[in-house]
Amino acid sequence: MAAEPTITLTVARYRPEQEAEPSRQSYTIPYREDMVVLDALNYIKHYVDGSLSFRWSCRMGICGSCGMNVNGTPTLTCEAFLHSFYPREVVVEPLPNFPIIRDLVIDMSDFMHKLGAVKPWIIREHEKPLSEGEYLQTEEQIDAYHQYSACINCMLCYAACPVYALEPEFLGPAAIALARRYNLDSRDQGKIERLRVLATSEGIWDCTFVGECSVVCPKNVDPAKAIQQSKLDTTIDWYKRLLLPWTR
Amino acid sequence: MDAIMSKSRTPTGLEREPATAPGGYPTYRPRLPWAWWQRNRRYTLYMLRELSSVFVALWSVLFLVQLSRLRRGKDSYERFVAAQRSPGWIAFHLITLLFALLHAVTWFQLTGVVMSGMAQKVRIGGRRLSAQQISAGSFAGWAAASLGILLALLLGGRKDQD
Repeated sequence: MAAEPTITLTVARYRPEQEAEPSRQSYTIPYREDMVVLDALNYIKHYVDGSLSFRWSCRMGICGSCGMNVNGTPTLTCEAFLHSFYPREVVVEPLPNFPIIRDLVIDMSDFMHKLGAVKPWIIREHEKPLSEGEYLQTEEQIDAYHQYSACINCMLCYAACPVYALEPEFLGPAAIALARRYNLDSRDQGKIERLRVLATSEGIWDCTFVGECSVVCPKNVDPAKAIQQSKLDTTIDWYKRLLLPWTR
Repeated sequence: MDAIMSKSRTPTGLEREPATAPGGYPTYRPRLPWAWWQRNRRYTLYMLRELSSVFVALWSVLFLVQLSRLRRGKDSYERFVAAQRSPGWIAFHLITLLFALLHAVTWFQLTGVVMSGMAQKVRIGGRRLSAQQISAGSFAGWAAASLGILLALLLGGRKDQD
C-alpha cells in the first residue's frame, strides 16, 4: 500500500511567557486535496499540538477572522487550498503590521478604533417618520457604493499595506473604503463628519497608492480605488469651495 | 495600562512593542524589514514607479539649466549641448526616458482604475466606462499629443532650414 501523502506546515509561534520573540515550528500532517490551510491548522490543534493559537469562525470567507500570512501573502486561510501549495511546505505566520498577542493571533484594537472613527453607518440629519416608509434607492444609487459594502473587516489590506507598516497612524484601506461606502450612499448625510477624519495627512493623503490592499482583498472591494477616488472628490470639493463659494 | 515598558530591540533587530493588548497581554510588533519591497514583483514595481519621480525631477532641473544657458547666449548654449553628448549624460537621458515612460504608463493604467468607479461621473451616452476604456482613451490621447509635438518639431525644423 502506498504511503499516505503528507504536507508540512511551518507555523509561527509566539508564547510570551516562554520566548522573547517569535519562533517557528514545523508540523507534518496527512494531506488531502480538499483541505484548506485552516483545516490543516485545526488538524494540528486537535491531533498534534493543542497549544497552537489562531482565530477562526465561519470557514466560508464571510466572517473575516482567519486572515494569516500564508507563504508571505495575507490570505483568508479558509479559502487557501493546500493543493495550491502541495507538495511544497506551507509557511503560516500572523498577519504582518499588527502586534502579535500569541502564535497567529494579532491585536486588532488599532483597526477597530480606526473603523469606529469613520462612523461606518448611515448618518441622518433628520430621520423621517416611519409612516413615510423606507428610504428607497434606485439600482444606480446602489451601484455607486455596492462594491465597497462587501468589506468583511478581515484586515488583509492592512497586512499588505507598507504605508500602514511604516506609519501606523495611517487610517488604512478598509476604514477609508467603508467611509467611502457610506459617503456614496444616497441615504447618508454624514459626509462632512467623516471628512474630518478622512481628509487629513493620516487619512487619504497618507496613501501613496501601492495598490497591494486591492490585490489581497478577498471580496474585491478595491480599497486602493476608494482612497484615490476620495482624494479626487476631496480635491474637486476644495476647488469648488474656493472658486464657487456661493454654490454651497 | 500604566506599566508601559520602554522600547527595546531584540537581537534580530525587531522592535519590541511596549504597548499591551486589551486585557493587559504583552504584544510583539515585528518591524518592517528594509527589503520589504523585494517581497513581490508588485512592491518592486511600485518602488520603481516612486523612484521614477527622482529622475523626472533631475531632468526638469537640467531643463531649467538648459533654458538659462539659452538665455545667456549662443556660445553658452552650444557648450551645454556639446557636454550633453558625453556617454555619461547620454546614459542619464536614456535611464530618465525609461523611468518617464514607466511613470506615464503606470499613470494612465491607474487613471483607468480610479476613474472607472467615479460612479455617475465618467459616462458616455449614459453608459459607464470601464477601466480599460478609460486607460485606452488616455493612451490614445498621449499618442496623439506625442505625434502632434513630433510633427510640429519636424515641420517647424524644416521651415527653419528653408
